[in-house]
Amino acid sequence: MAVEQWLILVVIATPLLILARDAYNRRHRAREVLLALGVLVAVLINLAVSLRLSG
Amino acid sequence: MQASLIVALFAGGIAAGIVAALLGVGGGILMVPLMTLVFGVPIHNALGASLVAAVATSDAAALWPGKRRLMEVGLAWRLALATTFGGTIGATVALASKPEVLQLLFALALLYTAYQLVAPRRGTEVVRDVEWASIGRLRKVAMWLIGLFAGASSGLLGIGGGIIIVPALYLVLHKPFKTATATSNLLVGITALTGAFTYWSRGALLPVPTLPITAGAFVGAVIGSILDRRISSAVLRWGMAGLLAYSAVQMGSGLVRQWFGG
Repeated sequence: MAVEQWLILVVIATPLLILARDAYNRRHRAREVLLALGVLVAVLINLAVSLRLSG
Repeated sequence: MQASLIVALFAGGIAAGIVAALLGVGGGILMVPLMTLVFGVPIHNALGASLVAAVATSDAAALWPGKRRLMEVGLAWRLALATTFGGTIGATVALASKPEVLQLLFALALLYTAYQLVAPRRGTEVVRDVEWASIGRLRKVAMWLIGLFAGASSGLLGIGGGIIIVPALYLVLHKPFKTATATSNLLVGITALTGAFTYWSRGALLPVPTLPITAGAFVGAVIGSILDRRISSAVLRWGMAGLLAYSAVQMGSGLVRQWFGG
C-alpha cells in the first residue's frame, strides 16, 4: 500500500488517540473511563458494520 | 496543473477549517461543493476527503488549549455513543429507502432552528453551564434522541452531526454557545472517523484531494480556534444560523432539481 494511504489512515485514527489521552487524564474517575471504553466499543462495532455493509 | 490544484485545495481547506472550528461543524457542507463544483472532484472522492478533513479540524480544536478548555469531554462522549449508533442505523436505512421526504422535513427543521438561534429570547435569558448529573431526565432523554438523530442524519443524508448538535446543546441543554461549538468539535472527530474509514477501506480516498484539503483544514481549524476568543457568541450564533439556512437551501434546491429536473 502506498505511503499516502497509510498517512490518510493515521489521520483517520487520530480521534482514537485523543480519546485515549482524555481517558488517561480521567483515569481516577471510573465512570468516565468506562464511558470512554463504551465509545471505543461503539466505534469498533460501527466500523465492523460499515465494513460488512460495504461488502 | 496538479501543483495549482493542490494549492487551491489547501487554501479552500483553510477557509473551511476556520468556519468549522468557529461553528463546531465538520465543514463538509462547504468542502464538498467546493471540491465537486469548483475543482471537478467526483462526489464519492469529495465526500470521503471531507470526512478526513473533518477529523483534522476536530484534532486541531482538541489540541488547541484555548478551545480545549471550553470542551465538555464527558458530554461529548455521551453524545458520541448516541451519534455512533445513530450513524449505523442511518447508513442501514439509507441502503433500503429513498430519504427525499425526510430530507424535506430536515431542511424545514434546519430553517426553524436557524430562526430559534437568532430569535430574541423571552423570559430569563440566563445561558448557564450545567453538569450532566444535574440535568433533568427529560432533557437527558432529549439529548440522547437528538444524538441518535444527528448520527442517523449523518448516515442517511450525508451531513455532519455538528449542525444538529451545536443548536441542541445551546437550545436544549442551555450550554454557552462557545462550549457547544467546542464540545461539538470534539464529537465531530469521533463521528467522522467511521465514515472516513469506510471510504478508506473502499479505496475511495485519493491522495489528491484528500491530503491537501485535510492539511488546509487543520491549519484553518488552528486559525479558527485562535479567532474563537476574539469573536463574540452572538456573531457566532448568527454565523451558525446562516450556515443552517445555507444547508437548508442547498438541500431544498437538490430536491427541486431531483423532482423537476428529470
